[in-house]
Amino acid sequence: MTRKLSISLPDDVAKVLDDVDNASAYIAEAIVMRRERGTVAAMLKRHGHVVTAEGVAAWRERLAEMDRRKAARRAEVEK
Amino acid sequence: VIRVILDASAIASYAAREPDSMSVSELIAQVAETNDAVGVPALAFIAAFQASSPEAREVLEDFVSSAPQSIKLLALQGEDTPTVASMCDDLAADKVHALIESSRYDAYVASYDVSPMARFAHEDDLIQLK
Repeated sequence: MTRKLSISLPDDVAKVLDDVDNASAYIAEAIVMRRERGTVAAMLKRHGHVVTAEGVAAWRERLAEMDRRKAARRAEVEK
Repeated sequence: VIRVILDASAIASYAAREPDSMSVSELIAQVAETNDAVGVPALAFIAAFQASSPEAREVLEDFVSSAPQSIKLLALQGEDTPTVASMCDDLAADKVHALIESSRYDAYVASYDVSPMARFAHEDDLIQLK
């Protein structure tokens, strides 16, 4: 079941859709991702956890660095 | 994509809201931010549950049921059971299961005590929580 909607987007945001094959699927995926983040945030709050933007950013950097090290290690093995 | 696997120490700390458990909650939030998932091995969940207070157990039940896209409860697969059993002399079952799922999903293992796992995994695949 789907619904046809007419929505308005800022020009710079709408421009992103110019380069995707299926704009509806792209927007639907973005909404699902946003909703899931909201679900997780609500769960963390319900469980009494305070999440800071700084803490999340620190994890983003740490995981990105771990990904880089892992990729480098694999590239070394493949040589 | 399952990015990070939690062992019992991480799960129990989260459920008990220990002072340092913010590290776990912020890790979960970061993983959800990229639309990825955190894996909770069944054996780690059981070990954490057994070590938790009644209040923390309620948190655990909610934890594995309220955000199924982001928090994935991972069953122990039948073919992995002999491996877990054979490794349990050297490593707690929750950590063995975490390592097996880490290998399956190419994910990191997060724990408050990674040192027992160092013999069985590359250090870069282990996240020491603080």
